[in-house]
Amino acid sequence: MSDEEAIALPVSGSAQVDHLLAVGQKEKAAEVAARLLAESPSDPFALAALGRVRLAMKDLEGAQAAIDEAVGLDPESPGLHMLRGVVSLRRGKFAEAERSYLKAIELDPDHAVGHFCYGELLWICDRDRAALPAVRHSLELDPDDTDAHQLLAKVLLATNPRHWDLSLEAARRALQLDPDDSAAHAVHGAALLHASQREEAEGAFRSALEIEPTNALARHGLTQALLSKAWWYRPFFQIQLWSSRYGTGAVFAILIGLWFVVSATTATLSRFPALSPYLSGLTWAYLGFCAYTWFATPITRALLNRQYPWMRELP
Amino acid sequence: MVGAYPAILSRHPDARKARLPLFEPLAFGYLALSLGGPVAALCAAYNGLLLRRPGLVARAILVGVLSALAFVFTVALLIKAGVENYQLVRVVGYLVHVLFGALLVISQWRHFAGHRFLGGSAIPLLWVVIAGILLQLQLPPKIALLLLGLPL
Repeated sequence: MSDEEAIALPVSGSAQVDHLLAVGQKEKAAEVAARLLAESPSDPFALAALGRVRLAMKDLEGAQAAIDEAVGLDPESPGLHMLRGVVSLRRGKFAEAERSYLKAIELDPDHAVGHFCYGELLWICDRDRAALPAVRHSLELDPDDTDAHQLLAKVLLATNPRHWDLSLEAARRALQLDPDDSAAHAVHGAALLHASQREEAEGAFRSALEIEPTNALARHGLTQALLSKAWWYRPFFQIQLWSSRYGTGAVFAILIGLWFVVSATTATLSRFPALSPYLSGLTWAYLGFCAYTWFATPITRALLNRQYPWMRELP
Repeated sequence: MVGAYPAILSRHPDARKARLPLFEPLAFGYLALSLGGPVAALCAAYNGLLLRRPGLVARAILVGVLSALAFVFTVALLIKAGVENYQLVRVVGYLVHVLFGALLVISQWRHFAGHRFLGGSAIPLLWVVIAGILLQLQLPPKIALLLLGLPL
């Protein structure tokens, strides 16, 4: 460690670990955590520091063991329950994560991060409506939390996509608070895309990718924005936007519903030869619609890949 | 503020990541429409096996068997009721399979989401849809009916 880095390090051992993890020095953070634990083996915050290091090193089992031990030593610490929730979530143990977050909120009802994390957990588990009050509460406690504004924008898009203006407002607020945050630009782009402001959305996604070239939401959004430039793709894009109001299976439900209507109509009216051309026209129209929903994306992408070769790198 | 949020995830399944790509749940609906519930159930059982969830496998097998029985029962019922339009009988029969396919979709939705959350991969839905349609077109009618549940 250089002298400059040593001077920049916080005094508290636990804060030193956080600082080192924030600057990506995981090995040094592990050394500090190990030293802290050697000095006081039954200190829950030293164990929590070790848990954070293991979490950063993707040793999720090890992180869980350290945090569980820390919580056992200090069961009244909301921060430790929060951390346990984070580790459980990373392991995909959603119910465990919920229990930990709710315990943290119970111990400290004004813990803004606790409300935010709980809202995020519910959002991940597709419980958008239930997530909304938690996210709103976290913003009441900390109105300047850019992550919470971003989450609010995403939850609002999912729960009330017709009022995309509310989502756009939250996304703009997040961007105002941190104009250098790639995720804020990406969420802003997603809200703009829902508002059918395609050019602006493209700009927002590009800004996000300039800051963080691997941002998944921005890459996906930019792909969508570019695809929607093609006139033949635009109706499908509108169908996707419309169906997003009713869940992922909406297009499937439409296709199956139409299939039943077309098939039943054809079967019922097939005994009238005069209607035969109309019935086969109806069937072909249905098949064309199905083919359009299935192939619009790959065909448009293939065509756009020739126009924009760099698009091949997008997911 | 204490108690303001009721615990709602207590029955939400923990995420598990399969080592191989899984079928997207919507694929079961399309497969049920093109090849019948038993084939969709077979694919759902594959997902359950890879996720190491015996309950999912058992549910998939049960749905597959019930879909075939329900198909036979519906067809027999319609014919007994005097419906002579076999095209219509076929449409209603397929609809029965789709309804069972929807059950498979619902039963695997959260498990699949958990698999994706942990970075698991999926077989592209479009491939499955196209494969289902091509198979339906290529299969001899007797085999197609057998897959639907009619032992002819």
